Amino acid sequence: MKLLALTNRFYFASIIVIVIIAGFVSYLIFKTSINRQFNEKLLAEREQLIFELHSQDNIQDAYYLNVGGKVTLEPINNSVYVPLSWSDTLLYDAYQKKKLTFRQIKFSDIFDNRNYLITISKSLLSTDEMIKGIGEVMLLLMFSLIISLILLSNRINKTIWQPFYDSLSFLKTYDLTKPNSPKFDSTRIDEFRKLNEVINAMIEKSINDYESLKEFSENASHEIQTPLSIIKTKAELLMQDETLREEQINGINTIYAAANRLSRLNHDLAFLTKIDNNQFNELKTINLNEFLNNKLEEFEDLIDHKNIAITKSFIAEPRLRINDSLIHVLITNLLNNAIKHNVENGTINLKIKKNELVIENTGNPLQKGDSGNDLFKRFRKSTTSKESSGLGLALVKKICDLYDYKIVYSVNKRKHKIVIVF
Amino acid sequence: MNILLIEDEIDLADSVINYLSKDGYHCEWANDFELGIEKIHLYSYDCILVDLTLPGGNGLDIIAELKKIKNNTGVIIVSAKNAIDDRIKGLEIGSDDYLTKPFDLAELNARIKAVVRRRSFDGQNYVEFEEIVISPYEHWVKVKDENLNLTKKEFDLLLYFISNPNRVITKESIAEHLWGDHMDGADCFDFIYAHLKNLRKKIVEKGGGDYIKTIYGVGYKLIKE
Repeated sequence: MKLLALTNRFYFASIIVIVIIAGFVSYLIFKTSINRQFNEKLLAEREQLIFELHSQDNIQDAYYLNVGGKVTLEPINNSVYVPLSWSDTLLYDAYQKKKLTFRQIKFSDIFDNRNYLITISKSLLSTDEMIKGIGEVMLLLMFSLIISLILLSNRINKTIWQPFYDSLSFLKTYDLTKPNSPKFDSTRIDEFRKLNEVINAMIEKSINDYESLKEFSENASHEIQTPLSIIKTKAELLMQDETLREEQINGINTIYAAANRLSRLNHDLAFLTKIDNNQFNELKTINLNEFLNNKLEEFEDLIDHKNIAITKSFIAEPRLRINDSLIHVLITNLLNNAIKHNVENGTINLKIKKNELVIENTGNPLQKGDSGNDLFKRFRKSTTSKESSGLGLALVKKICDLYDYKIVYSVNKRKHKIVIVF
Repeated sequence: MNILLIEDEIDLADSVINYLSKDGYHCEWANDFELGIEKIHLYSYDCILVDLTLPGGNGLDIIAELKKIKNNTGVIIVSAKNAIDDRIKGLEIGSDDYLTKPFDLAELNARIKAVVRRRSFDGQNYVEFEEIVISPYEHWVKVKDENLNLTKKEFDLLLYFISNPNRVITKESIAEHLWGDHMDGADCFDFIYAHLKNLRKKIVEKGGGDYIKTIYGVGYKLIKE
């Protein structure tokens, strides 16, 4: 829900409440002031009536009295005295042909030695009519308020909140790994200016952190290679010593092989970090079929050696926009994986469709309880090959993620299949 | 053969010099930029090995300087950075090869020999070991003057061994030499074992000696009987 819609909701609710209260109050105010006015008129007419009644001999003549209201005279017992009182009453109006509200004054008076109960009634504006009038005014007021509020908030939305939306869309598209970082514009609204200042400071800090992290991981990986070189070369040198016994040479070889593994691991991790840091952003158009065939040639000896049968069905010739080094790592690792985990006299089926690369290879079935779900996780290894760094398929996954390729692994007993959809 | 190693890490330099000296090379060592520049001006080398990150400057500048004064010296960059930019820049200014740390001494030795061969005799020379003669550029092998038919991988294997005679060469080092750094594991070692067996058989059949010995669990060694 938009902030403005929410605030508008509160405004609308309070407008409605205020209008209802205001309508009720104005009704009361109108009512009292009308009553007061009628009371005074009725009092004046009473004076006039009493004067007329006392001065005329015949009551009949009173019909010509100069009294504006409806007058009734009712003889009552002489001993009764009715004090002056006002009331609202409903009386039948012959002209309107319905009952209407009348303001009535009631009193007793004695003339011609007879006691009369006298009422003078004056037709009031109907209360309904008044409420209707007030209601109409209030409704008009309410609608004009709401409409102007909507117009106003639209206007506010467009002008005042614009810098906020600008900042928002900027943040949405912001990519830390891309070096061009436009700054936020300054606005004259304090709150937004402060917000932008804070975001700018935050971005600047993130960029710095990112840069130093990048630098650190690069440096760390370089710095590790130097001592590894020393271990490796010293071990290699020691192996040349012909006075050493076999087990001593084997011990040295273990050190040498471990240094090799460490170096490979370090290299692969550095590579993953580089992908994370988006350092492979130069793209080339690669013909997948050609590329795959070339890579197969590189592996030819090993494929022949293991007597693996390759079947190819390339029914399309997709061209990928991808980085040189990354497609190399992607295809090499996939083939490497298909060969390494294959069996003697096994098969590898390669399929290329318009948007799809399928690599299917024979191999040992997965161990019980292993669904292969975390195949692409770092350092997830099958127990059969201890030489691998465990990062090969993690690298493949990372590269697929980078280019939004979908990668799916499935296994059917001894057939392992990796499908990449691009 | 005169080699100059420009490398600030003393232990690494020590290993390299030790290994190469046993092959009869005369090795000199410069541990920083200044000394490196001084030495290339003062002496002549068949090959220089340059680290790129040196105290006092960048190894690339030493190569540029060297190319200005003597063009016949082979150059191998030895760097911890596996950066394509550096590789390209290095080749552009005239280096012959690029080796990423950590490297195998056997690999370094083979590369030095290849670079020097290419430079000094315009690639027309042969490599010999006892009765085996290899022409790295014309791709033939002769045993007792008889042609030996080898597969490409067998040829590469033999040349690698002959470049590092009397040295233990590890399986890992051979695998990396043959396939680069993207292959490893038991398959490669099996492959190497099978192909070395073939190679030995072929040489013996032509009347050559069985020079390649297995160092159990470690690797192999080319040695005179």
